This record gives sequence, structure tokens and C-alpha cells, in this order.
Amino acid sequence: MPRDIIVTLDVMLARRKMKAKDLAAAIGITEANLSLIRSGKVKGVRFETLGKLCEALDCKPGDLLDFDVVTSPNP
Amino acid sequence: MTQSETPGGAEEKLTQTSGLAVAAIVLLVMLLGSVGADIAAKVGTRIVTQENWTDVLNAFLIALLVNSPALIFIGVLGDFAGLFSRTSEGEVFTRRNLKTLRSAGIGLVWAAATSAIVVPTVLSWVQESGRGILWEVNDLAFGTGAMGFVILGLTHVFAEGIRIKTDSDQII
Repeated sequence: MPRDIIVTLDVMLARRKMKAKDLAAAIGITEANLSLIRSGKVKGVRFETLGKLCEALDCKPGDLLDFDVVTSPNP
Repeated sequence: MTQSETPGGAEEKLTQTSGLAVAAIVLLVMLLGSVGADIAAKVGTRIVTQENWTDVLNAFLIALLVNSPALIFIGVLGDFAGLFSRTSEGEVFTRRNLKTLRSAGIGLVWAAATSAIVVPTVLSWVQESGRGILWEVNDLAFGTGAMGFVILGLTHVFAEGIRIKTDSDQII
């Protein structure tokens, strides 16, 4: 089974009971870009953005990213 | 699609290209006026001397043929005006600009080919002074053609720029 980087930002948002809109405003990116990160539809995340996410969510990069089997979304 | 931020100072340089767009439009209008005046002078002479309409039409077509490199160059200036205008609005590495740049390069090559081959050849046929293909490659035609090929070469660099920008836009 192919393994890949999985973004677990949704999990951390739920743990912190924070809305995506508030997080986007806190780290200074658009909701559209945050949505792209959450869905993993980006080629990469800058260290700067990752740092801001960790700061806003009070977590470590490992809490936002995982490396596991990718389950393809339903069409 | 994401929009990457413009580095400091680059935005100011981009707005300066609007000046180049204006310069291109001014040159375009001047060249258009010059071509129009030349065609009007050649056709006008025939009208004043009250020749029949076929002579007037022939004079118009020959004047159009002689001015065809300039007319192509007007199109190239239009391409550059559009390119600089879009660049000043922050639209730089796009497929549309690549297409425009390629069109400008091809236009310059065609202007050179028209000036050096098409015009002398067709004129010799019309004036029945020859039947073959004539080459009149002067420095200006050679330089114009060379610039056209240089711009066509630069389109490959531009295409790579678009690829890098697309990649960069997907990194947030």
C-alpha cells in the first residue's frame, strides 16, 4: 500500500476547538489556502507557515503531519 | 490557486512596465500613421491623376505589400503593449503572456522574411522583371529576424518561469 504525508490539521483544530476561519486569521493566510493545506492539496508547506500553525495551535509539527497509508477520497 | 507575495521593490518595477506599454502604444500609433500616410500618398496620386479603378486598386495593393513588414511590426508592438500592460497589473508568468511573447517573436521573424523575400519577390513578379525568388537581406531585416529568434528562444525561458511559479504557488 502506498504511504504518504497526511495532514492532520483537522484533528488538531478539533482538539483545540478552534474554527478554521479563526486559525486562518491568526496566522495571516486566506481561508482558501488553509483549506488547501487541510485537504493536503498542496505540494508543500513553508517552515514559516508551519511555525505559525504550531504557534497558533500550541503544538509541534509532528502533531499536524503524519506518514501513513493514503486512503483515496470517494469520487 | 494561491497568489505568492511580490518581493519588496518588485511591485514598483512591475508598475514601471506600464510606461513601456504606453511607449509601445505611442510607437504603434506613429508607425500606423506613417504607413497610412505612405499608402494614402501612393493611392492618392492615382486618384488625382484620375486613372481607372483597377490602377487605383493595384496601387493600393502594392502600397499594402510594400508596407506589410511595417504592418506586421505594428502587430508586434501591439503584442508588447498588451504584455507590458498585463505585467504592470501583476500578471507576469501566465500562459497568455507566453502566447503573446511567442506571437511577437514569430511576428518579427515574419516581418524580416516579408521584408527580405516576400516584398522583393512579389514586386518583381508584379513588375514582370523576374519570375524567381529574390532575396534582399539587408542589415535591418537580418537584425529583425535575429531578434525574433532571440525572443522565440526566450519563450522557453518564460515557459520554465511559468512552471516554477506554478510549483511555488502550490507551496503555502
